[in-house]
Amino acid sequence: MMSIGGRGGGVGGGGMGSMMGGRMSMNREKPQFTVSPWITARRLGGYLAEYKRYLIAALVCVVLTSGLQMLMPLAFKHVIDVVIPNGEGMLLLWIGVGLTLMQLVRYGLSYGERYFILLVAQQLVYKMARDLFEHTQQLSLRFFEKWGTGEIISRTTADIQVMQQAVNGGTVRAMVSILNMVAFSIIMILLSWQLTLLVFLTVPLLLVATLVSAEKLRVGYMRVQEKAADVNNVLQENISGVRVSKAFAQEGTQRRRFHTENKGNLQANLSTAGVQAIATPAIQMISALGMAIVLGVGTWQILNGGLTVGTLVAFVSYLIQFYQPVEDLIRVNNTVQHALSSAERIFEFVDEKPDVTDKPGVEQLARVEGRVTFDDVTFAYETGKPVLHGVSLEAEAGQIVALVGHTGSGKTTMVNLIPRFYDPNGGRLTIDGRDLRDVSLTSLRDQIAVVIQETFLFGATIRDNIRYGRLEATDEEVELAARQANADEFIAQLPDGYESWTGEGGVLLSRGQRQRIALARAILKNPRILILDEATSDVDTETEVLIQRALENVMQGRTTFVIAHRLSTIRNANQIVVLDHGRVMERGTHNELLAKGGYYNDLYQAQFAGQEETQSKIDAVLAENGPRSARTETGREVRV
Amino acid sequence: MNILLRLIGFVRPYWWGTATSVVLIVVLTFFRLGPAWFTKEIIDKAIPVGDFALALTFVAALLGVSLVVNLLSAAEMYIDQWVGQRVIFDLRAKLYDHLQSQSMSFYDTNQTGQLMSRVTNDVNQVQMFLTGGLSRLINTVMTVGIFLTMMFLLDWQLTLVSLVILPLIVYFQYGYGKAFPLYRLASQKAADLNVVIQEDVTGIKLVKAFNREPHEAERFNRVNWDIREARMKANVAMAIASPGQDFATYCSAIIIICYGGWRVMTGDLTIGGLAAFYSYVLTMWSPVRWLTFMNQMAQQAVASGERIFEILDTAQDVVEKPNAVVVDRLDGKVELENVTFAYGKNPPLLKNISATVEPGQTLALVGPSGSGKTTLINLVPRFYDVTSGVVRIDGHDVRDFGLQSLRSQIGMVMQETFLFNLTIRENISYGREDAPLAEIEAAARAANAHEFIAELEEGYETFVGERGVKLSGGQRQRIAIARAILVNPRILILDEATSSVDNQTDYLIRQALDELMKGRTTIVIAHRLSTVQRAHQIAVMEKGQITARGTHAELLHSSPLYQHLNEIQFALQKEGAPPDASGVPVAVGVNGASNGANSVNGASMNGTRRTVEVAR
Repeated sequence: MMSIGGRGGGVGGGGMGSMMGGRMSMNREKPQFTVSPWITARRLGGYLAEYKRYLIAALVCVVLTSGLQMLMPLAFKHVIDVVIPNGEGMLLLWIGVGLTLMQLVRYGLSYGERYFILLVAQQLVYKMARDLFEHTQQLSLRFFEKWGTGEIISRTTADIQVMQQAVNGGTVRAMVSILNMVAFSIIMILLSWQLTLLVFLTVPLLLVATLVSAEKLRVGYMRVQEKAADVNNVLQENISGVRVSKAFAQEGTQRRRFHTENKGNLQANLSTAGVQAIATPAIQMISALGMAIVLGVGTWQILNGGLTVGTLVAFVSYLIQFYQPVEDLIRVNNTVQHALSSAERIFEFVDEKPDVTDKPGVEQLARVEGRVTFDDVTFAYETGKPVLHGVSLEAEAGQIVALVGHTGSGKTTMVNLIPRFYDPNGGRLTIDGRDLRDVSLTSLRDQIAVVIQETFLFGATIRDNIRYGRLEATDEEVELAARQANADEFIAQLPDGYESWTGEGGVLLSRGQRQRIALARAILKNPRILILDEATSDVDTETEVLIQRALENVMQGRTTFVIAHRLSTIRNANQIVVLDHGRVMERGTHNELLAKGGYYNDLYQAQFAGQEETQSKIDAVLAENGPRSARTETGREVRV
Repeated sequence: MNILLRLIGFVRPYWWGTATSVVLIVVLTFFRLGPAWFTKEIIDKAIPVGDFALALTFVAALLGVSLVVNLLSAAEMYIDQWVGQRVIFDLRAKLYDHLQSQSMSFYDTNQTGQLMSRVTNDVNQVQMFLTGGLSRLINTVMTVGIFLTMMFLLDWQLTLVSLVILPLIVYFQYGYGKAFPLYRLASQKAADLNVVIQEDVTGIKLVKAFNREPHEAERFNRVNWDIREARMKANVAMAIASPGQDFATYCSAIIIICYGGWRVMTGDLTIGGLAAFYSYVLTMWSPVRWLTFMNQMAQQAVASGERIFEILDTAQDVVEKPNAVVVDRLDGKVELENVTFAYGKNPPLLKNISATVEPGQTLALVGPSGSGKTTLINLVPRFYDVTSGVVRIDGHDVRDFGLQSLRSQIGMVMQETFLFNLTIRENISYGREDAPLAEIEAAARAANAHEFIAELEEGYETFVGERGVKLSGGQRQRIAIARAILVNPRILILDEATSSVDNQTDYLIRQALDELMKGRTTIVIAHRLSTVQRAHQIAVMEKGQITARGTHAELLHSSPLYQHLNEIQFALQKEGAPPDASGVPVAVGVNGASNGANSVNGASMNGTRRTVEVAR
């Protein structure tokens, strides 16, 4: 009779495996601990300290439920051995009433136990997720670069998910069943220590069988997950590349690729099913063996007067409940191992110390003029590999500083130091004469707007995306900013206008449109210092005109650092800084530097000269379509 | 229910497997009565007469039955999985084939994510039902039926009385039912949370620059809390239902103990019978616990099945005629005659388009975005079929050609370059798998791609990454051009990308395209001045119609729209040439194309190297 419960569990396990296949493909390596799992477990325990009361309540409930559960077979034994032979009919009724009341109490306790444990478990996961997220938010970009987007996302989603799955009802219940097992062992020993000893003989067998099969299943599910991921990858590629495969009439090839993966998936699933089909019945056979031994020896004892029939019946029903937790425990072992390794990965992030933080006693930075200096600044992402060597620079308030140089010359690194995405390793940066590290991060960043090359939009409405610049801005202010960024025209043409959804990462808009929304966002923030990473022109000329005009609007009256890719930008710059391998090679205005005929001149010929003719046409259009000063006038209105 | 039947219809090829499985379940359930029965026999027959040998016989019988049960159960589990996995394999393959045979209009209206989720998630849901739910459902019905019959045979009065608890069981089943939608809600919220994290991590610079960490944390925590709430509610529902089910089962057991004990006293039941009854009751109700769960599984399978069949039931709109023409080599004359095209019942995107392109000539399409240029070029390789009118190649209606033979002679280079996650060599030879490496290299050379490929560490065996992410935009484009060159198509369809690359790379691409267009019939969506200047004819499109046609020079005089387009699009471009060291543009006119290209080869070499550096 015990075989049925176990069977259900076995098949259920299979379902779980394939269900997790899709979800956990990021996380399918064997759990590897760099820290002892016990330390991780203790830390998890630390999270629980706060809920000591609930845990104690749960524990009390568990002990009481287990205790009450013992009563049923004992009562049954009493009925068989005493009540029936003595023919005490009334007593039967009272036993019935008593047992029913007992079951009611047990029901209540059982509810309490589940409730308290799950409450704590959910709270644990909730808090871990919250702490992890809030903590990573505080870490500098150095952290994000060190780990990479994929890894960070995987830890904050997949690993938390693993924790979530681990604390679900089943696992927690299985942990509780350790207690039950101890309780059952005790009562079995009390009933008949000889029979109990015999039962214990089967336990090592059971352990070996389950551990072996657990390992095989783990490997099997890993393969299943990998194969499922393979199928998904091929599929994803086929669907996104359908136009190409159709154009080249290669549907046959694609079909073969898909078929191979699909077949692999089938085989992985079947071989795992094979392991399971052997393992589950094998384990149940061992429990049946224990049962047979108990029945045989028990009967012998009854015949020799050492045991009553009632005791044997009671013992057999305890036995069934004794084997169940053993199976449960081994089944959840994997989940627990997995959860511990996930917890370790989560803690690894939680332990990262934020390296860009407010010093104790920093002051708020009041509205600045916008004078920025770099004073002999040295910076390295990795120790021993400096990216900036003693860079010095002075930008007066309201100036445009253009940074030019080849890829990898340190332009982006330089501008990243201004809002303190990183701190320099040597030298210092100042704003209006104050060291950046002496003022609070928030008050510093409040005065800086950054428009980065890969324009990032949130999956929200256009309005919300612009408003990200200043959350309390009114709708009018949002629309004014959009107008100054030359974005209002295309927004107005969208069916939902400002309420149009941008899609994840802004995919529903063109690049030129995304750029202008990013500009509007920066305008709305109304910063004193503006950092621009100009995208290489990947838009048509019409859009280019709109963007250049918007750029002029936003730069007006602000200190601007711009990683320049546009001819118009370098021409307008008050100061051009030419970087090479982290060193300032030359500085000056466009004309001065050209006249010098040095490094800048070469760079100019290679990178910018090609735009000359285009730019002259754009200039013509700009001049023709209304004076730009009119637009900047409206620009001032924003600055309340 | 219809859907469920259709899903089960997929099991038909393996009906003998399922039949074996059902037979095994019935046999198994009978055998499972064994242990309790033998225990009863020991107590009632062996112990009273003190026959230990008889008792041992029963013990041996018990072990024997257990062995049989477990062997059969192993077989049943495997067959069950075997059938289920096969069915899923078939379903997935069928779904895939169907997707592949759909025309482009299907892909225009269905998002990739949507389709992916149907082939993966929905198929998984169905799989869970077919490989677990279905057999468990049969098992539950069988267990309850057989055990109840056995109990009735043993003592029908006791059985009836023990069924008093039935309403309780039903009530708690209802409780389980409440938990499932909540679990589903929690998973949906978990997906929302992933979106928040994804956005935050990819946009972290922005978040920091705008001081929005608290805002993001709040956004995160709102969803995080929702998940906690949904899970907690679900857990509470389960915490009520699950021990409740136990409670009902035990109430049933208590009735057995007391009323059964009474019946033993009155001599209507033996002690062994009582013990057997007790364990039958506990065993019988145990699988009932999963009924609601299986019901949920079945419902999910039906919902998923519906989504799967929705795709399988989509009719194919571009189909090959049974006696389709197969041609070896086309001349490449393309004619459009009164072509009108509309998606379904939407207003037409193309109205009465007529045009003829002689073999080897170039037709350039220009016009504002949304004027129907892309729709037009998609009709030639039959990505869509015309609504009315006809597209002819070499005088045959394109609908009369075999799709394979038609498309293998048409090369396409599209705006978004799509590369497969294969090696560069495999990507270039995508259209002609059997091409020798020498030809692949020649194609790469013609596409100005050989240089940068050769500089990569693994050369042609370099994997390009998903969608070619490991290469720069300009490199991807040149590989796509090489891919088209290698199949040596008679007809070429080009969508000139607006340049997302620096001037040097742009020049290399332009040069490669020129090479590709040589001697082929070309229909090109033009963005470059050099292209329109060289085209044999230009068609100006506006709102789905051709409003003017002629050469560049002619249209500049005759078409106001063309003049405007020329102003904003072409006039700003220098005549196609790279910036060389002196900054003086080298003119590449219609006649001087090859000369110009040769004269600047030296300058472009440096450019190539620079681009490669950037790409790394």
